[in-house]
Amino acid sequence: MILIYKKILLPIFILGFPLLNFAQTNFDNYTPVVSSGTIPQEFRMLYQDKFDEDKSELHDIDKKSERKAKEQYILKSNYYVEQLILSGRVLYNDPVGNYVNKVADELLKSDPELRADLKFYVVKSPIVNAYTTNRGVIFVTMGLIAQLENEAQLAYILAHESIHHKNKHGIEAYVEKDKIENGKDQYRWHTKEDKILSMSGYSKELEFEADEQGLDEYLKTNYDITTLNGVFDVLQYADLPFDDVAFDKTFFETPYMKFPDSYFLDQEKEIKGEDDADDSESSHPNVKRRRNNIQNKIEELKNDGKQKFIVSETEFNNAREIARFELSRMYTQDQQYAKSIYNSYLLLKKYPNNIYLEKNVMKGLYLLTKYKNEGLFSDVHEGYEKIEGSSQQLYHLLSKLSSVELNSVALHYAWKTQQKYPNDKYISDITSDLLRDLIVKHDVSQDDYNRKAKDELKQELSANLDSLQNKKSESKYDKIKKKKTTEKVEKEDKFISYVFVDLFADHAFKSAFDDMIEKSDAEKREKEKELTDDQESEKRKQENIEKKKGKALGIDKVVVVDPYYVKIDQRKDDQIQYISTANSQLSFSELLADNAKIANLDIDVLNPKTFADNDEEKYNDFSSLNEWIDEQAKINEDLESDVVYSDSAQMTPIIDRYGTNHFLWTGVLTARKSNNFNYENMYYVCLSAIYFPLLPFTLYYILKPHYQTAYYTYLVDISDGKVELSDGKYFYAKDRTDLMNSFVYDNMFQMKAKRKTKNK
Amino acid sequence: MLKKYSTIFIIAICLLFTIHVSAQVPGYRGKRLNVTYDFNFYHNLFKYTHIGEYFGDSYSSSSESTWTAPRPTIKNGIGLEYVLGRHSSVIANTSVFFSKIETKDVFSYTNTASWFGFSNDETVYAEPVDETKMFAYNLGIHYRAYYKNKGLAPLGNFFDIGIERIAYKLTVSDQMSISDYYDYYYNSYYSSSTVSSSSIPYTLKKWNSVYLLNAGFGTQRVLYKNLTCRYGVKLGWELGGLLNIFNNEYGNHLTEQNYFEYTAKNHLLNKNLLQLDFGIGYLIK
Repeated sequence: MILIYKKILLPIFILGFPLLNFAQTNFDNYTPVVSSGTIPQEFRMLYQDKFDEDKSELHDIDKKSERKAKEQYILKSNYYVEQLILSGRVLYNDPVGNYVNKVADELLKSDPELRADLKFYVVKSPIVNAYTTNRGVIFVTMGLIAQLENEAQLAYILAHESIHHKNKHGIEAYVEKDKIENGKDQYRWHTKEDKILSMSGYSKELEFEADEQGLDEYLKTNYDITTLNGVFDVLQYADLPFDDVAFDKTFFETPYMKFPDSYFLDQEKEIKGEDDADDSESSHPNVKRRRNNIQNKIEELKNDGKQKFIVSETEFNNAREIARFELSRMYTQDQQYAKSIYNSYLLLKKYPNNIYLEKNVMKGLYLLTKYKNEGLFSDVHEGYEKIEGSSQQLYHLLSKLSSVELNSVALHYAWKTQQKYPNDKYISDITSDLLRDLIVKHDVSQDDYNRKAKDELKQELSANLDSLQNKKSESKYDKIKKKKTTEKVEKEDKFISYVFVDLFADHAFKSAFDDMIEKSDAEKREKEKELTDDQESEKRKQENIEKKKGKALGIDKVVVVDPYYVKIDQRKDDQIQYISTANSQLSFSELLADNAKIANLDIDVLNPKTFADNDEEKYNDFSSLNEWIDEQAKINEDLESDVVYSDSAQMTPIIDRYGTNHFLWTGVLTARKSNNFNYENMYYVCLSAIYFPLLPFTLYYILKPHYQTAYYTYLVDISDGKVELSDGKYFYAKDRTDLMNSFVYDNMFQMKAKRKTKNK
Repeated sequence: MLKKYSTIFIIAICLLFTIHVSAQVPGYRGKRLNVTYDFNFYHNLFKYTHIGEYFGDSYSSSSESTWTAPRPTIKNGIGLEYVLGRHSSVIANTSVFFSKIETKDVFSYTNTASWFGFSNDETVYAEPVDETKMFAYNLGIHYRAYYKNKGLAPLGNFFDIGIERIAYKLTVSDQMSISDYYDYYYNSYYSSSTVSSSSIPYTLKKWNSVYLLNAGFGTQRVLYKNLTCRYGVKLGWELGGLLNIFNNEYGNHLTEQNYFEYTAKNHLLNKNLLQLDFGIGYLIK
């Protein structure tokens, strides 16, 4: 046994380790990137503990105001990191993050102490950014990774951020800001405008310092110097897609349907990418100044033997490709559908027939169709006039297409995708919904679409028309035929009528079209059918029961995701009560569990603060559920019609793991109002003036603390995205435990309860 | 009639309310039965004294009410509140209280003169004061409507309306104190003393009752776990009094006994007119 171990397993272990450490992602079967391994302490550590730990380092500061400002910074900074972690958007031990950490290892080889202080994580955000927080946690966004040209550029950005941490820029800037805002020391006689300029100036100073000292750190390594200019290009063109490739006009065309020329621009808008913007009031210097500053410093430096890749070019390309794949998804989540389609389009050039990308294009088209069908297109589609570069063609095309045209194009794309991946339920659900919308919203029939190619049809119709026109005497029937043929000739000019020519050849499409028409007619008939008196009274009765008693969903188990709590004090400048908010977040989880027990409802609470260090699966579920609900809630709020939200491939494993498809998002926002003298107070004062004995009540009313609290519950069936229970309470009272218990229990009772129905 | 069947009447109202109890109303975390200890503070804004006067065979009466310093007294009781719906509950309550009534010259005190050594009691025009103890208990049924409570009954602000039957019993002392009386025989004042009366009508020891219409408002919340607290204001008016507001219920048949009853009832109503209502409860089921 030992021999086997030594001879076989050991070499595999030793040789296999570096291989295991970096596994090339299979982009043909791409699945969204997830975290793995032990959950970092940073994610699980309680906010209060973080604060106490950081605060203990401030004990030697004598100046009270400075210590107070620093404490406030710690409170604030830790809170926002906490919220970012709780959003589920931060990844750990993922391929991209691991690569970033390797680059950081290489960069800070000469400064192991600084390296030990720093932790790098990747955030699932399309924004191009990297930022340092108080406890040495540096976040790098996927958007930034996707735009980089090489590893050296990443190394420089990490060097810049490391200096922010090393020189404690965050906390120092906060103390300075506090001084400026409160007119302390040299800022005593500053005007408001002077204060803004001072704040901006100080912040820019720190940025230059991080640029320069970051460069010093960078120059200690063997990374290429010439590529540094590219870092500033990344910043300058951060809003553009990761590449600029002409949009193929035929991308959405079919063999028989061509878009009119007017649907495309003659010339796309030139990319300007302003680098010399007025930065007098901004926190960062403009790109031009930063570029020049660094350029001056590296001009005379030699680049001999310097490399663009030290850790690994393959690994860089892999990480960047993952980031680019992730961008498609993130843009969709942020409702930037055109951007998402263009991003996928760029990747499809390299990875044709990629289900992940094709699904993403389909989803983008589907949601744009939904918004356009409800007249809300401009809410999710930026005007093409503002877009620079090749992607402008796509923006223009999507703007030009009418709702029925876009619906038809989207359906064609979805049907083709469905043909390619017939077993994917999400694709077939979307295809079916697009077909349904086309028939119900646009009232189309199969006759509205041609079944023959344009040339063929034109020829045939012209021949018919000629023969009719050549007739000497026209009968009534000839006239009708002529009229119909003329109409057909006119219709033949509508490009969209040819969109399904190829699909009508497929019997499945034709019968799906027929079935949907039949189904929608039946539904329409059902809707229009008058209810009998008994049915009407039963319906009213049920409505009344639900109104009085609430719902009775008969659910046995619910998973609560990310219970949210925030406490605000409107009397203060910094309104969030950080510590009590964090503590309330924890106690709210307990309150939920307590009420669930009483309501006899089985619940699981997904909150990273309560995860064990090996709960990686839970963390990933938490993360993807939060992403999903963000997207679902936004769309659900905007659109009236039903939308296909859930990709069963994503949701089924989660449903299986927790044994339920009912997931609950709930939270509390409570605020102590400022005691400003308002109209209500005025009213009571007037009453007291009229009737003096009311004065004690008026005084009590004016002086007593006023609170307002909002509580929400959002229960969703993640298998179909259906909102099962949506409840919100807004009241003028403190977040008292009895009130919270009542609300929570009430909702949980409605989830658990089963209504008795009379069997007649 | 109403008095005779009062218990049946109250039970009937209870049943009527419970018929409408629905099966799926949560209450406070599923608990809908709140047992409360109620204590109502009232204070005698007026010291209500009844003064009787004899003129030969005829008897007349007047009452005197004087402002007094607030003197809180407590009426103790228990209540059962049952949550009917998200905005309503029904309450059955009972409470007891003891009180004293001060009367002047209500009962004749013949033969008392011999005690004083007088031959003719008519020569003494004093104002003997009797301190009568009163014990009363309430039995009531209330409907409580919660408003602006986000459907969280039994929590929140409420408006309460109900009917209470107050049964009271008087224990009249046969010892009366006389203070500052004037003796015409000797033309002089005498300081206080005690006299006994043999004419105290023992029939007053029977239970009498009065019906009150109650209205109140307040708020209820949970203090800890299932412990509730309630505070508010409660007002009460005599139901019959409201109906016969202009009628003197005794007409011209004035006797010292019914005037005394009248005094006692007014005393009772005075105490129920305005009360500060407090309650501590426990949600049991």
